[in-house]
Amino acid sequence: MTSFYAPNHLKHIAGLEKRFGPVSDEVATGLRSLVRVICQHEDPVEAIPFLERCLALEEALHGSEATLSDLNTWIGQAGGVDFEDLEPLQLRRLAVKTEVFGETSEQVAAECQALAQRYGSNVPYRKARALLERSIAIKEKLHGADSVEVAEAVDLLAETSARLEKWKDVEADLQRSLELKEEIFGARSEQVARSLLAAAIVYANASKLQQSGTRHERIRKAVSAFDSGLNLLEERFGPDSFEVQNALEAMIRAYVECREFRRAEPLLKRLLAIREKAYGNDAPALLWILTELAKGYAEESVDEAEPMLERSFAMLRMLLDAKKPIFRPGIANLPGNGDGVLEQLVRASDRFRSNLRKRWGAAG
Amino acid sequence: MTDYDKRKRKCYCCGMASERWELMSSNSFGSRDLDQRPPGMFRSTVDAWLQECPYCGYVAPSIDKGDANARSFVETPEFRAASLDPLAEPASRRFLVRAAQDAFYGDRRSAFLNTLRAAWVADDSGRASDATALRLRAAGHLGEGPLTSLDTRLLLLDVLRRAASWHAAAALIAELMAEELEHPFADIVAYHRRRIEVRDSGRHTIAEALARESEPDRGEADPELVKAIARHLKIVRKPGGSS
Repeated sequence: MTSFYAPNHLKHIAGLEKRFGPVSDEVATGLRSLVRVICQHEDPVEAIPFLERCLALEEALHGSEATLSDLNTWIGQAGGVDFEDLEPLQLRRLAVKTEVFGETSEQVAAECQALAQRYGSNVPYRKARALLERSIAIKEKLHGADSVEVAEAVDLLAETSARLEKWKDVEADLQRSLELKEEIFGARSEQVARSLLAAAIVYANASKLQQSGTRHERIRKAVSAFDSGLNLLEERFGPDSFEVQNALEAMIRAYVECREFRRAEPLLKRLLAIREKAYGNDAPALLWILTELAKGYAEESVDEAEPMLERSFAMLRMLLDAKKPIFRPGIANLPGNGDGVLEQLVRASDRFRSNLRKRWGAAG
Repeated sequence: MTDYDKRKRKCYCCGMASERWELMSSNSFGSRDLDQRPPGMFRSTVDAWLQECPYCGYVAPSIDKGDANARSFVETPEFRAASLDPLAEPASRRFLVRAAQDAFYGDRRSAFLNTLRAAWVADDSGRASDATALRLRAAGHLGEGPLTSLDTRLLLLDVLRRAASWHAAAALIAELMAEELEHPFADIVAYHRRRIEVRDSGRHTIAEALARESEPDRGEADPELVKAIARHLKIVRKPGGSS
């Protein structure tokens, strides 16, 4: 026992046991008080043995429903606790809720989702999936198979599978989500558009590390889903809208990530044109687009690489100019494989020079 | 092997569908010309590099693709002037229409490259004076201002030499030589300088330029030079003794 507060509290609890009996509300209250103090000032894990005793007493005195309040309080305070310490108590809360509210209840569905999200970031994917399927089954009974609640739960299932890169499952989940949304919101709704865009990004990501045949098929699916989703967003919000820009940006990042520059290029050019029109030709919002274009062209096209590299370097110089220091933090924070924009451009420039030497006859 | 296939495409600008033979594959073994014209079978596919809509005249590598500039350019007098040019043959005219679009939107390098390609078409048809005029027109797209792109300047150098624009070519050579370029760029420039000295405006390849610039074959050393080196070595050895 390492808790500073436990010895004194336990002495007091021993007195309560003598006076009121070992199975009494007074002893449970004493234990609850000790658990609260430890959670407030020490590691909540230290409180688990006392919490277990307290829960056993409450269950014996008032039934399992009475334990929910203490379980909720401890779980609510256990944010930084390791999942292996948290899991038994969260499973216990799920069992209690199932007993108290019945399997087909919002409370059990929500608990399944909460627990699954914890599993989703803690490796046991199968357990998470089983809990989410259970939550979906409950919601289907409560709200109907074609309901917003079920669609949200299916999205959560897809998100969990995607986070753990279970691509086959993600594809099936997204298809399920798409069909549901077409049924609920209509085939040309914003929700369907967003599902299609999510599917496109998943297909692109899933193409990584695949053999060329499978990779090509996944990319083809990505392009098709993206085009359909983008069409719906354009229809609803307009071709230059923020929604369309966000969709372009997300898809560009997915293509760049899976080294499909030729697919990303038309989207980059379109986003560049929209932003040039909106913010002018030297806006900081253009720099990452120019950099991606310069990097891509440097790999394969001398004709296009040189002007793009020149423009990117010129813009970077202008933004880093002492007269405009306001842009410096923004540039430093621009994402890109762990390097800053300058490093990326210098590497692209080296690559371009090497390709230029080959173009003019240098060996290798 | 060069393959063509008949394809139908809907024009990006006017939406009308039309059919044409499109280049599916080809090869380009060998060395490029000094203006980067490709070798092999691909060289002779130049008339298939751009497509033209028979209804509105829009020209692009693939007429079902384009951007906002493409749509607005087909409404301009510059487009009409280029696309109705009665003197140019179809393949050449397509490059000139594209060059006019590039120039209209300020893309000097692309305008230069597309006009140069129109000159290649003229070369193939044996219209030497048209080819020269087109090369000068291509150079004109780059304007008077300074050029930073090494690639563009090397292309321009060949364009000026082929157009027998000796003074301009010599000035560009002087500028490039002052930059102390590395291999292979320095070799290319030196080759052009020699060609210009003998007023050669013919077609040459990169391989020719680099072959003539390579170091002399050490296997065929001058015997007199070998004897002189041997004498020198004897003199050097004397103070050291036996070895």
